[in-house]
Amino acid sequence: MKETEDNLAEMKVEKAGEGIRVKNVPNADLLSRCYELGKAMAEKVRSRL
Amino acid sequence: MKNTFKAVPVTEDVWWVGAIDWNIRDFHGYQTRRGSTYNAYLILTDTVTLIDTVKAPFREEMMARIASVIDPGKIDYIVSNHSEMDHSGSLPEVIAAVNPKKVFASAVGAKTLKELFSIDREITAVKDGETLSLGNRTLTFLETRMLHWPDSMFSYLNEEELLFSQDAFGMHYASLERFADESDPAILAYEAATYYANIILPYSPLVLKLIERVTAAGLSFRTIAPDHGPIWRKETGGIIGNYAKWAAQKPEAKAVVVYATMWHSTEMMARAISEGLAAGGLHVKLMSMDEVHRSDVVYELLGAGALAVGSPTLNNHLLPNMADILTYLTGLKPRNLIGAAFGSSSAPLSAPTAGAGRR
Repeated sequence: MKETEDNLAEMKVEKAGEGIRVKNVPNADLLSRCYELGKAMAEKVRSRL
Repeated sequence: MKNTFKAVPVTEDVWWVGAIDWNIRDFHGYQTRRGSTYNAYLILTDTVTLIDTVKAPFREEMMARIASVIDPGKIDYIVSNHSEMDHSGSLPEVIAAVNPKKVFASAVGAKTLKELFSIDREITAVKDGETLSLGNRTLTFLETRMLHWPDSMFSYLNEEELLFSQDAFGMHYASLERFADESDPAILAYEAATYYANIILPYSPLVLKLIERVTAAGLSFRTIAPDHGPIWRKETGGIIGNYAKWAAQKPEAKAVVVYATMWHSTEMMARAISEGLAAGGLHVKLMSMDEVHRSDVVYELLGAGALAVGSPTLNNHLLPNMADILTYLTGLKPRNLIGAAFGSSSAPLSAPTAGAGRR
C-alpha cells in the first residue's frame, strides 16, 4: 500500500485519513471502517465546494 | 481511379485538407475508440499556405485533397504549428514534392523538425506575436510552449478571426462531418473532455495563463481549427469555456474509486468506501481496472473531488494494472483531490525477502 500512497503523494492528493489494509478477507468491522473512510472523504470534499 | 478525397471549405479562403484515421485505437496509452483525424489546412490567398501536415502513412490522402482544389506545386509556404509526428510525419516528403518558398515553425519547432527528420533546408523560426503577410491576408503566430510540446504554437488568420490551434481544442474522433455543429453534441462533449484529460491536463496552469493572455489581447475567434477532430465555428466560446473549467480543476461533489482485485477482498473494500462516499453526498464512480481502460479513469477524474485507490498485494507490490493506472495518473497530474489508499493481501502481509530462508 506504500506504493499507492507514494503515488497519491506525488499527485499532491490530500489524505482523508490513514489508508486501510486487510489481511485476507475484510470482516464487518473492517468494512465499517472503509465506509467511514468514504464518509470522511466526502466530508472533506464538501467542505471545499 | 478518380480522386475521391476532396478538400472541404472551412471559410472562403481556408480549406481542410487533412486525413481520417478510422482505425487508430491507441495514442500512447490513450484509448481512441472513435479513431482520429489529422487536420491540415490550406489557405488559398495570394500566398498559398499549408498549415501543418499529417501522419506519414496518410500523406497521399492529404495530397489528394490538396490537389482537388489547387496544384500542390503552387504552395508557397508551409507552417508547422506542432512538430509531433502525427502532424509532421509527412513534412519531409511534402517539402520535397512541393518545394515551398519557405517553411515556418517556432524556434523550438524549427530545431525539433531538423532533429526529427534531418530536413536539409532552412526552416524559418518565428517569434511570439510575429506576423506573416500572405498578401491579402495576415497570419499572426502565438507561442504556446508546452501546450503540449515545447515547440507548440498557434497561428491566427487575422482577417478571418480563425485560430489554427494545433492540438488544443481538438479531440480524437474520426468522422466525415468536419464541423462541430454537424456532429453529435454528446459525442463531442465526451471526446473533447477525454482528450483534455488524457493529453492537456498536466499543462492546465499554462492553459489558464493562455486564456488570460488571449482575453487580455482582445482576440476573438469566429473559427477554431484544431489538428484533430471537428472544426469549431458558429459557437467557439463553449470549447474555450470548457478548457477554462477543466484547467481550473475545481473540485465537484464527485468521487472516483479505482481498484483491482484478486479474490474480491479489495473489491469489497472498494464497495464499502463507495457507499460511504455516497452517504456523504458525493456522486461516485466505482471503476475496476480489470474492466475499464486507464483513459476512462482520467476522464472521470475531471471535476472529481476525491480519489480512492485500492490494490491487493502481489509479490510485495501492486497488481500490475494498478501500477499502470498510478503511473499514468502521476504523469497527468490531476489536482485538488482528497484521497485514500486501501487494499488486501493474503498471508503473509510481508513476504520474506530473497535469501532470507537460507540464512
